[in-house]
Amino acid sequence: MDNLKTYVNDVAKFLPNIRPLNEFLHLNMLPGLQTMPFWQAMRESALKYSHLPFMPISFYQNKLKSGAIDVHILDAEIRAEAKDEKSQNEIRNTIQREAKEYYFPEKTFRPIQKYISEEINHSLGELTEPLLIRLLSSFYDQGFSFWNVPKANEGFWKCFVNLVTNSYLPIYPIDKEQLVHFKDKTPIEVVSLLLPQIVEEELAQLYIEESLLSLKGWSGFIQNINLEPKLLTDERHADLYDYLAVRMVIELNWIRKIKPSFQPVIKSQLGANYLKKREVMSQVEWQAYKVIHEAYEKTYYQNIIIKMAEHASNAREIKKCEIQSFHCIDDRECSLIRFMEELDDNFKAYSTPGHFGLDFFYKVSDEAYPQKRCPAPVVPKFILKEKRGKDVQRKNKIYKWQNSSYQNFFLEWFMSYFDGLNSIFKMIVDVFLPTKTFVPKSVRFMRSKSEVKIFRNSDNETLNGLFLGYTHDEAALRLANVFKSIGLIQDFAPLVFIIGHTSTTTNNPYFTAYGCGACSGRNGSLNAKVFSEIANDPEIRKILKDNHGVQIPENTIFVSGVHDTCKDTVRIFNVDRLSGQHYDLAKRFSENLKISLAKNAKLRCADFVNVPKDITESEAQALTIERAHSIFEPRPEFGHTRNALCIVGKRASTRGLSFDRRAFLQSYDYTIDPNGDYLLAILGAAIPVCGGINLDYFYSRMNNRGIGAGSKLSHNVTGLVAISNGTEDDLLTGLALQMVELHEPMRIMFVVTVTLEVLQKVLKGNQNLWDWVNNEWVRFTCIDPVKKKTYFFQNGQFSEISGGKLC
Amino acid sequence: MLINYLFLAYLVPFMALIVLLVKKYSESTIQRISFISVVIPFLSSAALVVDYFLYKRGVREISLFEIAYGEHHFSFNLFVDKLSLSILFLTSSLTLLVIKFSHTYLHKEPGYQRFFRTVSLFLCGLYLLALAGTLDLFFAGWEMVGLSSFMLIAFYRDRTRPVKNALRIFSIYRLCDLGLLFGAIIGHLLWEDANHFLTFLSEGRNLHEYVDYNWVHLVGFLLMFSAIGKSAQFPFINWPARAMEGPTPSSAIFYGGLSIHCGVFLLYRTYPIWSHSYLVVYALTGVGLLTALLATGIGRIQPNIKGQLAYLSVAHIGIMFIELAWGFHNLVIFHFLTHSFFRCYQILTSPSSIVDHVKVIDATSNITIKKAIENWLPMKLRTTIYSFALQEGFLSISERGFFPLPFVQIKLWMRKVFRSYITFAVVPVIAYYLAHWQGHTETHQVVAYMLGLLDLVLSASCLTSLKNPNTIWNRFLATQILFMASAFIFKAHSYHGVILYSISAIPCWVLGKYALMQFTNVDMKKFNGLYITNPKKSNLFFIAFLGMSGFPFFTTFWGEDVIFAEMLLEGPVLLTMTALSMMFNGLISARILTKVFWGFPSYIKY
Repeated sequence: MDNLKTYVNDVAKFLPNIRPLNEFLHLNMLPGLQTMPFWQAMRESALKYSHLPFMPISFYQNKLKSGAIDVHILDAEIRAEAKDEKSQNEIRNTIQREAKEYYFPEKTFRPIQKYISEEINHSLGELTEPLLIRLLSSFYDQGFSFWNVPKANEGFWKCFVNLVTNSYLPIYPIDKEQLVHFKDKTPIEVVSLLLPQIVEEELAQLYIEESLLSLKGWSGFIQNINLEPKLLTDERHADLYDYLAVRMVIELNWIRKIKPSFQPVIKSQLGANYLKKREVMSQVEWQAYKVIHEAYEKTYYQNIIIKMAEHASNAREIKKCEIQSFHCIDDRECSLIRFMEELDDNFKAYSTPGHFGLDFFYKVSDEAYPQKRCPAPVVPKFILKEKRGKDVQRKNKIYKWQNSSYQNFFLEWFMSYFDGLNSIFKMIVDVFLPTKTFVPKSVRFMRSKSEVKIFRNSDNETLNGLFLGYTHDEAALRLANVFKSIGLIQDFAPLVFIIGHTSTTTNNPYFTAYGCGACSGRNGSLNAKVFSEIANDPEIRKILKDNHGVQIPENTIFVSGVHDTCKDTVRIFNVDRLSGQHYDLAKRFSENLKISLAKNAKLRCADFVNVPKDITESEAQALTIERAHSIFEPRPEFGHTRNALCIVGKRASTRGLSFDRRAFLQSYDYTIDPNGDYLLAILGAAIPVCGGINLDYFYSRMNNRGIGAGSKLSHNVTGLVAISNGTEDDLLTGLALQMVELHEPMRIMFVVTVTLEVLQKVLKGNQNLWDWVNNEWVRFTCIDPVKKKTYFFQNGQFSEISGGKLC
Repeated sequence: MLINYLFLAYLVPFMALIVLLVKKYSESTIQRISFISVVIPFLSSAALVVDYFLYKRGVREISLFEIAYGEHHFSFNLFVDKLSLSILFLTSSLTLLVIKFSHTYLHKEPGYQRFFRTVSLFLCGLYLLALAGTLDLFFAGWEMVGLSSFMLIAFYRDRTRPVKNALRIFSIYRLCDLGLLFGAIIGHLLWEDANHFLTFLSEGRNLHEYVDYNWVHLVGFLLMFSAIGKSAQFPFINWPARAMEGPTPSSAIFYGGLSIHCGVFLLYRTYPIWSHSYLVVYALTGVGLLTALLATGIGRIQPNIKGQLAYLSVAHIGIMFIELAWGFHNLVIFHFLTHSFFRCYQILTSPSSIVDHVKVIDATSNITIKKAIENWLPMKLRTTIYSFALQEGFLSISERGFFPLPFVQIKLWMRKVFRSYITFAVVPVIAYYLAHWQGHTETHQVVAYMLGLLDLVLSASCLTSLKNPNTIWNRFLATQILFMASAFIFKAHSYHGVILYSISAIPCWVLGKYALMQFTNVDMKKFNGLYITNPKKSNLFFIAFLGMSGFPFFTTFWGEDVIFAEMLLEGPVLLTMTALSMMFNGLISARILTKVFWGFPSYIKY
């Protein structure tokens, strides 16, 4: 049994990281492999998933032709990879070979399944998987079906045993009498008892690997839910042993039904044909692809480093300004910030993760389910609830009615006649008039609809076991952390905007992928509002000044807002409280925002193919809004497409530079952080988050059919938590084709402006972060402002690069 | 009447189909073509509906032309009543909305032109079905709808599951088409003027006066069988869930809106015939009720949105069958109009179901304690019902648990049988006794029986054989020759049908042979996906497939009709045998098409 655990744990590393859709996050899809160097991990996962972690050779050849791959860098890479002339030439020939027009990189290779299928003359997967998938999706169903599978709360194995043994009807082909023997055993015992009946001991590991990976979406899902049961609102308990036990019972029963004389598979039967060491690619090909891919990435990195170095001499720092704004680090904000800065010299933008340092759960009302509004790995101890909520309560009633209606068969029959009439009008409106009747203004001042109780007076105020609100000290601590990490502890402008972000899409199951990742995929406006309310509180300002050294002048007012990245509109809250100078500043900000949003919309329209090139900015704005509301638009916005950089440092070093919406920005001032504490906090969040986003897009672009989710058109929402193709298939992992088709698959590069010693101390001090960096899952560049040198991390160390040349 | 010129608008999808076949266009051109091809029929339908209500027109028939061929005559005419207008209006408005939806939804999808072309074909078929004046024309439209359904389920030809499911569903369509084919033939018997629907109405009332009641029962059951297959009633309720493999808009039009109601249309049209038969009325009610209960029961536990919508759709059609059986015509029309829009809209917006769920759980946390009546039952009964619904009422062929006919076991048995030559020795003996039993003792008739039975046996062996496709295709030629020979010998002066049939059959066979010639090593146990590396051959074989399976644009369809109509009176057993082998034709060619050319191309290296 211990062997069994080892086998399962060995394969579990390769299971994809898939979460329920309403809690979707961009994460490294293969987190278990992070302790391995990147290319080794890619090679191993290629063998397991039988997919290739490369684009087709034609992609690289086109990049070479267009100059996106620098020939010198390519040469240097080839020389670094192969020592002698002959292998270098082999690599060059492979790169230049003729490309095919089609590219099907994924194949499945399961020797034991293939052998058994030939023995019984039927495809074993086709026999077991439909029933197994149906059982799994019924078990995990969060509310699609009208009633749940009996005993769903007792675990998958028990639920299955109940279905088979405690019913008047059999489940074909399972033998009820035989299963009764296993009724009281735990799944892991069942697996260890059944395993010798299918395969001999030597093949056990291979068999378990095949069983888990042939339904990799479901296996990954089971594993993740097992690690974090709270991800599902209606909890379910199952682990990989439940899955294996059920699968083996079904398989054995099918095998025995068709061929009763089946004997366990022995290694010698598998023979050379089945077990030959299959390499997905030959050694030379692997080297060639790796070399050209590295060259592709490094060309871009080199361009950026040179660009930033040239700009460093022009960098001017703005000390005093009249408007400041905080934005999320999201790469979709970087173009908006740039447009705003072009219009106004007295404006300064800071970037910090969109939860603005605040970690809390949010509840709309007493009976609502608590929503997390902070990054996924953080587990908050606080919960904020709506104070008033007439609107909210009214909406509650509507949703409750919608949810519980039509339980009566005859009422549903009767109502169905009339639902049809209603849907005729809905369809006409949705298809021909997506924006209904008007195009909303791009920037609007409004009263915010929600009001939460932020502060608590005593520790007795709790709800669901969490503190109902912050104390002043706790809140001030969080604010201080944010201000210090971005380097703003004095010289506050009279008006500071805190802008969160969200995204409105219609008919899109991946809507949380577009939302603010720092707020767990939700709307960032709440965090912005809470932050600004806390920062406006005089007692907080006193604590900040006395205990943390952050001087906020009395004249400064914080205002919150939210940017809808899909529609490119901004809503600013509670401006009517301002007067005089502040109101004028707010007006000026909103005028500039309007112009910037229109420019941003036009910039984004360059990606939408069926849009004419000479579109005006206001037309572009109307177009983005229409796309957000159309039920038939599978590409409402392109999200984090083409993300490739994360720049940590003062805005002065990048102000005025255009990164083509490819950079995550994070404000940081090394001068006030001599020990690197704030750098640790920043990188501890930024590396997993930005690295996760980047890797998610990377895999989904490279192999959209194997590890990505394929085209959105045939998607079918399953169990309210996941997506599959049609009704009989495995779950789909990763992102859909329509989200990643324009992405440039390269690993993210962090460019951090800090002294090398501090950076190395921070990275090496945290094993998790060091794994990311040392194994080159993310690339690192350090711009040392004191020594005035640039270092690039490769081959296990930071090496100095001169003149910006990476080779 | 001037208003009748509006019917010319329904030729527009046909023109769009031809245009989209000629060459590859840009997306914006395709959008314009497809939009015109749905807007013009919509305007025309709206005008016709207004005209119908304004002038209180009743039922009318519009004769187009008649072709006399041998002893047979084909009449092409249109029959317009409130059902026709409802179908026309429903189809044109629904397709207008869904086509507009698809313009942006399918953007950049490989197969853009193929999608709109197939939808145009579907529209041709459905308009023909709506306006058909005779059962033959209705059958032609029916076939076109079935074929476009097959093509759209397998839209993603490079994945195995859509292709496999498409083949399975095409088999069900083919099986149930037999009912309609026989119904059409028997219709020729019952009425001399080629079973016009107008005649059904006028003469139908007096049917029992001059036709033996047994014929009425038989025709009724045959038509019911056909409607059951197309509309997914008991025992075929599982296929719509399997058919949700295509793009969402196509699933919405077909299985939410239009194609799945075709059974209802058929029954409505032929109401004057079968309504006389109390057996059929009760059977329809039983089937409808059973389907409604079973499909609702299965649909209630479906954890995925498209599967659930498919089953609930089927349940509603069961109710429509009941309504129709008892003569509530206006209610049926109202029901299918509203149901189509409703289901279509639900399927189109199915990806947003997660958003709705999130809104609900933000509002209230007790989401899943739904008060379903099943939760009040004792545990063992609850588990039994769940287990029954989970296995889809044991009606699913894929799990070998299909009561009462285990298809897979039959297939394996057939393979064993056809491998031995004893089978081919036994055939003449059986044929001899069959012929004598039917009273056909003359030599040429007995020979015809032998050829017919041999044809059937060979067809069945082609269907299940695992040999390489060239061998199967050669054997297929043998079956065609046997069929034509058997028909010709049985009634020597009925050569007209045989000639008409062979005009298409032989060239199509030759085309198929040319396309298949190089593929001698293909494994027929799996889907090979050769269309990627051999696109031209794949298209040629597709045309051959259309010809051999009796697509209405080829004369094989009309030739079959003539042959069967002429053989009917004298040789019903022979007719059954040859008709069965004709049904197999479509399956054989579809099987070769999907196994050889479609599917995941695992032979391609990166």
